Amino acid sequence: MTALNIKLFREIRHLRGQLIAIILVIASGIASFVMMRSMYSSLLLTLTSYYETARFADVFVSARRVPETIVPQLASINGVAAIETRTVVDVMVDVPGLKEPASATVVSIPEDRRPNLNDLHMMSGSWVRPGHEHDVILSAAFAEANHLSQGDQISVVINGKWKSLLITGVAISPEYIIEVSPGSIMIDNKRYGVMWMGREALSAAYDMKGAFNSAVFSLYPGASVNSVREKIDVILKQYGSMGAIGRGDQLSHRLISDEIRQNEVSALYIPVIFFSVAVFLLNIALVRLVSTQRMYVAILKAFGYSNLSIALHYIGFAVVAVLGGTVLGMILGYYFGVQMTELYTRFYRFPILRFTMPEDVLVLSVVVSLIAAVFGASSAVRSAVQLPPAEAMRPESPKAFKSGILDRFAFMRSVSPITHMIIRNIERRPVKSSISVVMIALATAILIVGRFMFDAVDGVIDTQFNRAQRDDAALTFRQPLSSPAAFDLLRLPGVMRVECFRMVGVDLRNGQYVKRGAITGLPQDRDLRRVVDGRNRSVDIPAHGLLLTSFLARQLHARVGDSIDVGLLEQDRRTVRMPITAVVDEIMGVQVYMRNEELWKLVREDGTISGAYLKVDHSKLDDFYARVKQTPAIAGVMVRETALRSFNETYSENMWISTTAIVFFAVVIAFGVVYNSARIALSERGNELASLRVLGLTRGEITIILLGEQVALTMAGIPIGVAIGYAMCAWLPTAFETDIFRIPFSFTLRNVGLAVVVIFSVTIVTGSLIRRRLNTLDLVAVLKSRE
Amino acid sequence: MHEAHSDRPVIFKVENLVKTYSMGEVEVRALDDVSLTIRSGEQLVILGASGSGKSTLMNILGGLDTPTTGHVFYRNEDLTHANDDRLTQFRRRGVGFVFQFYNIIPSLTALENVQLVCDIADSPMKATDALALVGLSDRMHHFPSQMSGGEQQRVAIARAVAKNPDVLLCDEPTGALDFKTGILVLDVIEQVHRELDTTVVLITHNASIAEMADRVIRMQSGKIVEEFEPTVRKKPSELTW
Repeated sequence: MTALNIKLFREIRHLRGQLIAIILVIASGIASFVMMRSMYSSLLLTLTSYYETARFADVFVSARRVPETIVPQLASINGVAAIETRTVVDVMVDVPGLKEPASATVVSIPEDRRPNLNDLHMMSGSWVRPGHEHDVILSAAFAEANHLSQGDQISVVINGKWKSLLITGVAISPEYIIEVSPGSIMIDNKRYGVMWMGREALSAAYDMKGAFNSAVFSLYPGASVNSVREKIDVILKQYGSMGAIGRGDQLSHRLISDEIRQNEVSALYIPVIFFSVAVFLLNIALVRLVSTQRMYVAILKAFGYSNLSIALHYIGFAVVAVLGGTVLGMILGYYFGVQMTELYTRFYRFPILRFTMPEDVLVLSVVVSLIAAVFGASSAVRSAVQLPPAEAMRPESPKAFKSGILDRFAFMRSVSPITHMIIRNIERRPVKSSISVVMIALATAILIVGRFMFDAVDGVIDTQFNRAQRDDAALTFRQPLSSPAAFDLLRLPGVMRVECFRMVGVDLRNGQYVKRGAITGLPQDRDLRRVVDGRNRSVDIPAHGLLLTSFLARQLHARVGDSIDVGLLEQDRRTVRMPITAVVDEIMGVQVYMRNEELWKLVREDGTISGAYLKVDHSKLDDFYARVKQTPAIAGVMVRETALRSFNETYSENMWISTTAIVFFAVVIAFGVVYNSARIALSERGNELASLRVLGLTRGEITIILLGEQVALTMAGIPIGVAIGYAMCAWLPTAFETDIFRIPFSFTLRNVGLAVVVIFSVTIVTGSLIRRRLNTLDLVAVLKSRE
Repeated sequence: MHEAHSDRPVIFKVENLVKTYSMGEVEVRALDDVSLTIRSGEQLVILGASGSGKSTLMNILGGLDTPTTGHVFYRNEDLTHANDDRLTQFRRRGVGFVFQFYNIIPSLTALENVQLVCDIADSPMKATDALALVGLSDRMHHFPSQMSGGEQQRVAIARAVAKNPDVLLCDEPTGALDFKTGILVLDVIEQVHRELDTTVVLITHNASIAEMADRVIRMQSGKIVEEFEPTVRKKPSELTW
């Protein structure tokens, strides 16, 4: 090893505190980059190859009943490569061991062959057998959540009759990588699942012999999804088509694509934050190092070392820090990636999802790190290289201070010299001080936003389950019933109050903007289901016209007073022009409300209902469930309490993990900034502080001088961070809102308090690490040494 | 008044001071059985070459270091085993330091440098008065980087005397200055001694400076080898080297 390298390694040991802080920041950046970028490519690769092997469809359509004779017409649409027709129905399920009824979507599969499209991947067991109408294949998520496996029996209401089915196998499908029950905002694998039954058996039960109510299409490469959709819609219009959708609108695909995209975006900006911090820290650490080593730089140059070797020597410090951080980051990234994958496999069902770190991600990590190292080191290296040897031999001229801006104010005359020192030191390096403030602000904002996500979920739960949805159970009927059915519901055990609703599928059109949704009709006098605005106030449904969620109104580019086209997807399927009479800032994304009577007039019905919200005596819930299970007219039931419990189970762990990560990131940034700044201040001003000790200042007093600057910068950064956090909290709900729901804005004093306490504690704890060094200041040496 | 020193109260009394440092495996005796009494109002010069032990002695007197054996008393108080807090209080109230390299705070103006010490002293003089005493009234709003070495040293002296210390400890105060400026600084020290009746202990390797002392102690290899009172006390302006 050359002498210069030995110097490098010895000095690295000396600077280890600062280097560790920098390594942690870089490791956090690399870990988040490696994890998210690898997760992104792992998911994308898995998804693509899964879709390919399972022949996942490109276009999906449901209708009421379409004769098979139409199939050739559909198959001949230009661009259609393959077609698979099916019967798809929603059913109520009695799961052994589960008191409340569950629901499922049953999809038909050919008994004698594999489906052309959306093929199943068998996890265990075997295919349904021809002629065995009770055979069923369960989705893996539903089977696992309920501890069901091949050979078990399960009861399902098939066309109004309870049937006991035999589970022949457990499978996954590209169509249901994530299983969310229609209209729900949450995953509850215990109470909602997917099942596959033989086409013959299902068609027979639902009067679909020689017909289908769902079809999926694959297209030739390059074919236009939209033009195929339009042609399908034209052909199927008379068969009660709900309108064809592309893959992009398919629920499971959309949820997983959102997740993949989120990883891709986060893999970009989170590492950028860390690398900016790292470049800043490297810069201040190396600038200081070079300035303390002016003499050695001069000597090296006098000995004939070239500028290049001196430059490389100082870049070496940065490279060691950065490579250390990169290696640690990769290890952490791999570890968290595996954990994350584990978490994903609970929600997303793939034949196999393995976390892999692609080589290009690793290479990119190293390259980005090295660029950061060079950037961080550049100004320090430049000053070392530009120093003429003779100049370098002379000690650095005394730090020039002058009166700052603040000195012009009268109050500065009455502050103590210690305060003067703190303020002037901050003023002397405006850029460095400002960047420190920004970094602290960033760490504060990260914490506030992190907690905001937590609050947002709490807010969704509170609004949805405590204020809007106040029923104990919501029932949906297999098909709309006449309103006297409500009186039958009152006879169910424990039922104390019934409020009926009608739901009608519609296409809403305002000029070029089209949105598919459903109008929910609610009684005027209601207590169990409210429409709640952004401030949790209950909103009345206007006597006439439509009440839209503000999200939907925005999507349609429509305002109160505008009239839009409402295309009914039921009954006579006519299109009516209707006024928007109110808009509500509700957390549910796409919703349209009307009064029941108005909706009945619109669909020309006399008091039909799609379902009801119930208030049920909790002591009689078991009897209630038992009776509901025996009522074939009921297609599904959602029980508020169990939905809430399952929501909490699913999301709380998820949230906990991300909150921990966010707090960790913020602490690393704050620690890195405060530690490095304080450590450098100590190195620059050790002599000054020792002189002050000689003059009789106590350790406490010089601690104030040293750390006062850091505390002042932290105090300046926190309010800015709070402001950034506020802006983020206001922006995020719009950024994240989907058709399904919108996270509410919240900005609580508790979160601000928490962020302030965390950032301030980090400053104090880090400061106390540095303070210990003040105890070892050499008071005698200072008398004999020049700065 | 300088003739009556023997009647003045004792400020420092050191008895059989020994200070050893271990430098690796070698033990260095920096002070070897040194005993000394310093009385109030005295102007004492400790003379010695580099490594003679003069700085070690001053560090112990100033509460910056403690002896290995022996005793050091400050006005009847035994400082030998005083803890850090006590030594800090002692430095804060009892002594003023003047260093070879001034050690003034670059981020504070001349006035603020002096004020810094006034803020923590029990009965300081006004910072402006201290600066007037060293002839820097017109430079008090200047920062160190805007002043010459001699001016910076005078700020250091003003800072040291502003707290009205019992004793002014000056460690090679002219070491970093040219002759002319050095004389100017010594003149200020002499003036402080005269006008405020402050006890001055000045250590130097420059034998000429000894000629301005009431009493001179010469040290060599950690021992006091000579002690005398100059027959003629010269004014700083009369010194040459």
